[in-house]
Amino acid sequence: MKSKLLWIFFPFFLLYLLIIIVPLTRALTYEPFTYIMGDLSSGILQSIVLTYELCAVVAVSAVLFSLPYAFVMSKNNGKVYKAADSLVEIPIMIPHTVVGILMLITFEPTMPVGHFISTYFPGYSFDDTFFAVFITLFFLSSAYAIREIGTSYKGDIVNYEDVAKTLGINETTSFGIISVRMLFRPLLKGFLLSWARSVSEVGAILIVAYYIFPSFDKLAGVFIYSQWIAQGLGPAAASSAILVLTGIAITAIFKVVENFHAESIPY
Amino acid sequence: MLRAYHIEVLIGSFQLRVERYETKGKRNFIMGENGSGKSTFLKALCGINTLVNGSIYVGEKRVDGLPSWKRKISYIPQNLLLFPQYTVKQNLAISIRYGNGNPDIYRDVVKVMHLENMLERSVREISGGEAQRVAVARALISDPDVILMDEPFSMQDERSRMSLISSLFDLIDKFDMTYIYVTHNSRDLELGYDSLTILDNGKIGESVSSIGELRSYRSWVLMDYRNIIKIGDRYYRVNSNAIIQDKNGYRTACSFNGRFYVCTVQINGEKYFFTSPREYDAVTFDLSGAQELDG
Repeated sequence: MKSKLLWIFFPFFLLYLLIIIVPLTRALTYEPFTYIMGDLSSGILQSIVLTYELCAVVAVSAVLFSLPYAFVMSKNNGKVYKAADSLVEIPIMIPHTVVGILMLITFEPTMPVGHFISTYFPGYSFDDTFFAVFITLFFLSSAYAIREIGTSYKGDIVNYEDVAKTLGINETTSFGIISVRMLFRPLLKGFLLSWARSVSEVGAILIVAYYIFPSFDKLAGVFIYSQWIAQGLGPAAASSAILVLTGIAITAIFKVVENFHAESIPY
Repeated sequence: MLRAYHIEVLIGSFQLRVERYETKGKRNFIMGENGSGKSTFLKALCGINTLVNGSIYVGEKRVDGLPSWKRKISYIPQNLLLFPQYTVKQNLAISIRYGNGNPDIYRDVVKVMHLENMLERSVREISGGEAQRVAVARALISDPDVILMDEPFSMQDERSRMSLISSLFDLIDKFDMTYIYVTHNSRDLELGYDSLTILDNGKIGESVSSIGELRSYRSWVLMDYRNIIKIGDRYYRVNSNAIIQDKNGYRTACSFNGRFYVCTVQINGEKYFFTSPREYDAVTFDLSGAQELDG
């Protein structure tokens, strides 16, 4: 006999899936396939490639910062460290347009940090640059990698490292041969989460880099937004379909790699 | 071989304070209830837990200022923590490849512990009992002066556990290592020991060379909770001669386990247990021949 609770919860389960699936399906079917294919020449493909590449750089950076962050946090339980750790989630809760403003008032050459940078890099400018995109997306997305990797490391993997050290293996080697290898899956997942969060960002990018000089390329989210403003729903929906399809394909590839690794190593 | 003085460790709100601990001979046992600080103490000795205070010596060498990989104290945790990304062979040889492990011990241990047929297998493919043997072998191969074992065989059934521990002790004796074995099962003591230390609420309660030397009620309860009663504010170990049927005495209920009766007696609201060749419904105790224990 089926569980009574299962019958109660199943409609919620189904409703949740529909909330995810219906808009995605609408994006893929709103315009005919031939129209979507025609939209490929609108510049969306180049914009998607640029977006994915930039976001990959951001995600790799987030992952690289996550390792030392997780290591330091696992060795320190003091109040100062706990307070510092609570800062990580703050960028997630700030409205994205506000993040854009925060970046401008921090990194513009006329602002303190920007001015400091410009003294070492003459000709430094901030808005509409790759650096503006990078630092804004890093600010917004790094928390996902930090948390994914930090939780795995501190929660369990550090115990394996501790045992390795009692076997006479020094700290650096233990971290390298035990922890980093066991962190492969969290690293991959942290990369994917940061990358996906960066790809989805529009609000802050609209403020710091509507175009990227000197090529005038736009990130995919901004490109589709400008299409919607200038050309209406049809072209924007077609570009959205392309973005959704490529996003699904890349996520699927990551899942396959993650699952393949999970079968060989349970981490 | 291993000595520790004025050890103080703070883990959250739990505080471990061990004024003095010294191993005697090779076989050293530590017993204590859950949460008494057994694992915290072992982790402090091997350097996983940071000391707030204290000093640790291995032989004449002070090691508390050294990182764990320089202490020559191996730790086998209860959950074993075999490295899942490596095969059995790679787990065993990891200290030879990256530390100061001893290849001669590797060859001996693989043979004695019957590990030859599983060397190329992933550690995820071996059984729980095999994993325990591998964890112990891995620690031995790292050639430590002291091995700390945190109930590594607790998941085994009684007979397998005793067999494993016995083989292990023979092996450790062969390589002239000192070990500290943490257990909460008093049956393990039957295999012989040089010292038995009772940890209680983060402190050493007693340290003795034989069970007969134990003086504390709390220590005795760890060995055998039966035949210990509290009357007034004093604890006693009673034998069957001290138990007297008395219809005006403490109410008692007995059940036969096939060999003897296990009786429950209620004294001042607390339940105590004693064993007896006969059944009782109410008892008093003749305490003149009973052993009085410290509270």
